[in-house]
Amino acid sequence: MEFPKESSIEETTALEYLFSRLSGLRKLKRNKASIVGLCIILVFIVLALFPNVIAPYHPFTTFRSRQSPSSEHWFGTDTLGRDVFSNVIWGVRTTFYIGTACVLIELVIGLLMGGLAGYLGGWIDDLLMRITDIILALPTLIVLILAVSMFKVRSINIIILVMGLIGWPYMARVIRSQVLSIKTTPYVEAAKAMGATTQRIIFRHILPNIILPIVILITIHFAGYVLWEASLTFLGLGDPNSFSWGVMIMAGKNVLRSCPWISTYPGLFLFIMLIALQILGDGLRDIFDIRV
Amino acid sequence: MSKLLEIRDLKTYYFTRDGVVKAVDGVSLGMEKGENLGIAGESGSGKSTLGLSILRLVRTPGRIVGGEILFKGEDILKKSYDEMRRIRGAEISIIFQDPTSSLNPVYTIGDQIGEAITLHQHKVGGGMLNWLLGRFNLSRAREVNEKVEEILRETGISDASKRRGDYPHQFSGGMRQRAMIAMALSCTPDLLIADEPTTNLDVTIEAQILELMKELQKEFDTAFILISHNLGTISELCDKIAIMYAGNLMELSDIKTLFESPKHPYTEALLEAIPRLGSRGKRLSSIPGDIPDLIDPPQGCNFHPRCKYMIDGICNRYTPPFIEVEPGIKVSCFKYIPKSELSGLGL
Amino acid sequence: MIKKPESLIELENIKKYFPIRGGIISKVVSSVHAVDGVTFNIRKGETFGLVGESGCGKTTTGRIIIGLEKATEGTIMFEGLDLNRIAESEVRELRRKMGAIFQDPHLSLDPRMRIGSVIREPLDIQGFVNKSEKDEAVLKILEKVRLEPSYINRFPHELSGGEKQRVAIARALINNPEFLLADEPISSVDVSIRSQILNLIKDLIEELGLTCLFISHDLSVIEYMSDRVGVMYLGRLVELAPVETLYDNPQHPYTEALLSAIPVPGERSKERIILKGVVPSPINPPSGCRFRTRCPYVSIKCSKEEPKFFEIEKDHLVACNLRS
Repeated sequence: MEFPKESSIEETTALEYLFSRLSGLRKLKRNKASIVGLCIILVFIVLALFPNVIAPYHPFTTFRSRQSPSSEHWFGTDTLGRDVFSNVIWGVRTTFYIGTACVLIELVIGLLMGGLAGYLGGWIDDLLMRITDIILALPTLIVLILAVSMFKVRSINIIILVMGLIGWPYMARVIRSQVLSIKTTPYVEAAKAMGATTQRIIFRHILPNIILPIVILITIHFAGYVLWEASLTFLGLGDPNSFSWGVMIMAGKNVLRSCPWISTYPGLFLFIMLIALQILGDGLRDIFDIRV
Repeated sequence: MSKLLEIRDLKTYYFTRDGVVKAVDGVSLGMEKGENLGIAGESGSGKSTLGLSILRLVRTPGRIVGGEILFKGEDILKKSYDEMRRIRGAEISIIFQDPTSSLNPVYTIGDQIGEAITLHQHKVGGGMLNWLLGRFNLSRAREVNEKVEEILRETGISDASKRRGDYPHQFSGGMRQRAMIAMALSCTPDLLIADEPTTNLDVTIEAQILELMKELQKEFDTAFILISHNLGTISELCDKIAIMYAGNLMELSDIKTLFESPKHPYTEALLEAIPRLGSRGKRLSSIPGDIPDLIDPPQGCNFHPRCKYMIDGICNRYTPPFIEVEPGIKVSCFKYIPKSELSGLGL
Repeated sequence: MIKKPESLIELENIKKYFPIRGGIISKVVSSVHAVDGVTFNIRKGETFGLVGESGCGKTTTGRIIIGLEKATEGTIMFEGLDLNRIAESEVRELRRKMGAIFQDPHLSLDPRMRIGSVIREPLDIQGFVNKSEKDEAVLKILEKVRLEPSYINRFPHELSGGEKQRVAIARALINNPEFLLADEPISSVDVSIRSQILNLIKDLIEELGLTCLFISHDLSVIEYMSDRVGVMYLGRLVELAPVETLYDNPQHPYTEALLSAIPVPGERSKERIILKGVVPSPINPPSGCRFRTRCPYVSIKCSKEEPKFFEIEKDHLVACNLRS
């Protein structure tokens, strides 16, 4: 028996599949915009990991306040005298923290709720979906405001927790519909006919096939959470001790005319990150689509 | 010039991201008045694209890049958008494979057939306007409704006055196809192109629809072009048959001769490979290989990799010309070109 | 005494009703009688053809046999085992004995799995652990379905329809099953490739000594592949006979109409039995004989009496009031 060069079958579990797909980054070459998006995000990731490399000063160090941008303080200083540039750079980490943590929360809950509902169907599906509907029907911003203001302490973690708990229904819905559509495909039926266990069907067939829409949704939601936090901060419910851009924008709100740099630069960075995420999301769709 | 339709060297290409798909690559055929033409082929043969090209309904990234289509002596490809619009539906009509997606689910069958009638009978202004006018003009509306019911009855839909107000989802598959035929014939076109009209239907319903089409043809004096991968279906309805493979026209012949003595190796191989009633005990032969990639087709004749008569050096280098080998029978194959003439063709 | 041929699968009065729910609390209001009392045997080593048009219940019957649906009523015996009373521990072994290929080759393979993994999956499910043994089995079966070994690391979308169907066949047979279910295996395959696939299935059935249930709506294909044929209409079997008998001497009016409806290449048929009307709804099947609404020989008896399935001649059963 002639064994071909690849003499054994390469495995494809969900995780390996994910990593093998990342090696398809060269596919991004076709989509110039997503390369730009990817580069920006990569820069941001570097900044998040090593803020002290770029930021000249520690964010809490104070100088003369309300200085306009100069060679010493590229983005000027804020009302308390902190270097805006350093704060913005340190803010990248916070922003990533918020986005990632919230997305993780919604993934866990969403997979559980959406996955169970889609796979098991019946009254479980009805029950879980009614719960989902109820939360979806609530006016988001108002609920966020109410929930966060109930706590006496203003903490970034509380905000993250609340946002994740309000935001998961969107993910659950998508996951459920994906699971439903994959559940009825001929290849899942073939697996059942072969006697595959439920566990095998879920982890080997359903999960790898729902990754694509989930990944895209993640990039969109990441941006959404960052925005929500910024909005909450803007309304006065933010954590003043965190370096989130929302806090910075808020801090410069009252002096917008006299010291526009305090709010503008954080706002600009927020804007760039959100656009980069959108563009990257489009590119990711190309990577994960196995047919392209 | 008694020819109803004449296609000369038609080329329709799709310009996709992966390359140029030569869906129809130099097809020439003709159709007399009163004759039915069948276009047979598998997926990728270009038969559907050919049908769409006749009505200039090919969508981007597809485009007709060359050739002529003479309908009643005039080149359709040179006509303006408005002239084309007047031809579609009224002179040349088309029905598709899946009646479900060709019918708008939110309008009644009566409305949809009525729209076709209104669009072509009132030349003033645009279709939407006319339709609206028709709705509010009671006598005209009544006229249209009567015509609709008449045509529904003709296509075998009983209880036409009630059925006129039904929606597509209330019809069965066979009835939807009848409704589509009704819509297509409502303006008594000279030519009806039917693209796989019975493929999705059960064989007993297909028999009904084919009978219907034969009757309607006698009544409306419409010529049919039937596009299908099913040679039996084409035999039921057509006089002439064109065999397409990977964008080329391989054989053009009358039905009887094609099945009794097929000329092209592909036709020959296909006829031996189709399961037929009474084929018990005889082993079906199979055609080795696969349908070629239309973006990167083989050099020379598109069928040569699978052809048992392949002549090395010729079939895999040059495209065979489409020539008449017997009166009324044309083939695109080097088997029929005597060696002496090969040099004359520049080979 | 003539030895009766041994049956591998016996179906007795199988019924499958799909409930239709309505109302706010999703009460069951009526049901779709997809399969409504089907009884037949599949003998060891034979290819049984099940034919009928859409909605007749042939696919559902196949799915019940293979375990994708549970019958609402009736019994199935596989090698003497009552499938309704089978223990959990025996299910795995049962699945090993059955292989299945389905209609749509494009979706019957997981698009995210490589071909090698797809074919190997039944072995994984059965619990084999030795990787090199498994890989070798995959390569062996790949050779049997006439595909190159290099295919094992390709993805489904790189293959053509015919190749995908071969992969599906390989997957169905890798466990050396005794029974093969083939549900419309060539309907979605290109015309010039169909005979390749049919011949492959035929050869493998003979080589491996398989018992096969071949489901199709195409009577010509059924004739080519089957030893015995069952014709279904609206959830019931209307005729069952060896293939020569059915095609040469059909007894049921529906079978006659089906045979005459097939368009023959090269001929414009003069006398065809054109059935009137459409197939009635399986939610509310007609009383008496289900075919009476379209039957050219219908009589008053037909609306009152349900025809019984009886043996009109040796090995040839039919359910028709006209013939009894």
